[in-house]
Amino acid sequence: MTRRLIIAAIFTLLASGCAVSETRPSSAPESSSPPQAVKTRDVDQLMVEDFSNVATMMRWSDRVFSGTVLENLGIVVPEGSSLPGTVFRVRVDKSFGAPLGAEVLVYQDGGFDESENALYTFNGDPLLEVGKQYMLAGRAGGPAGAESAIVVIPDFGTVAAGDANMPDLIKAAQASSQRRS
Amino acid sequence: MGRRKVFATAVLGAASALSLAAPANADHFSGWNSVDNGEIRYQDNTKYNSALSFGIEKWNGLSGPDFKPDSFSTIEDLNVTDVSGMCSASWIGRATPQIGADKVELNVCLMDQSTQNERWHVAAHELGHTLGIGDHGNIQYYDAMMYATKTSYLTLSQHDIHDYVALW
Repeated sequence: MTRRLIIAAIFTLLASGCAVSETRPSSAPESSSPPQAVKTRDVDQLMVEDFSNVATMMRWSDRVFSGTVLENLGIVVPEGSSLPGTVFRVRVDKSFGAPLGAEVLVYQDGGFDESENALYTFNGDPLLEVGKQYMLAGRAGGPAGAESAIVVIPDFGTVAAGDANMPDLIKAAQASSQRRS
Repeated sequence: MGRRKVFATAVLGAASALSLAAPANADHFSGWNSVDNGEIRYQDNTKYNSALSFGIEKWNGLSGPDFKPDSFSTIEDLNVTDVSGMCSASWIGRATPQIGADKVELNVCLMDQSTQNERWHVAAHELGHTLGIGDHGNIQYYDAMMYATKTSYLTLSQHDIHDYVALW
């Protein structure tokens, strides 16, 4: 299928000069109440590591930070895939390890597929919500159309502020950051 | 499925680990499958042909639905494809129901970085999903084909077979 790249709009350039050049608006994920009759499909992905282990996740990730989601920039579908990912503009509140700019782009697997009227999520990971703060972990380098984005680990790498696991996560991130420096 | 709630940190004690362990005979079903009329007609659009062949041989060795190549006279049930440009992703394979043919996607960048056994494991794992078998997330299933993390195990575990038999 050739749904891969349907570009609807050019989005605002980030202050850093980063741009998402090939995205389309994602109408459903913006709010917590998607349009009626939208199907939700959760997809299990085979992971390369056991990210339920915090130490493993910290070792694998080259970007770990807490940030506040500012804007949903729309979806990007990787080459060869038919499944959407969503790009977000995120304010960096605190970085653990690699220095980051004031804002970054984050690519999260999942998003709204207009052709199927379906909201895809992966490994039970709800889409990030604008205005909320998260602890995010992943690696730099998104797919074509979002090359400058940080690809976050589903579920374990997108922990909302207030989650019971947050203190342990911050502790592990700090320890990992100290080891790297 | 809220796996975030079961962060398995190093500080988890043995007692809590035991309490999280699923019973040995727990079923793991994905809630969907690609089986149509007792078979899965697949379209091979992957470069990982030996891995795909291995996976097909593995599951076809059991008594139940068979994977067969799609042809002009059959309806495609499954499309196996490769996804590029996802070197920073944390997933190496995924399977999903779709309108029309369901899909197995293999992450080219991470497949290329894997050993042959790992690639074969990934293909067999994803084909397992198309048969309706879900991920086995608990560490007790580490040697299962359907364990939720990439390994190099190439045999179907007793639990893989248990789930398959329960379905088919």
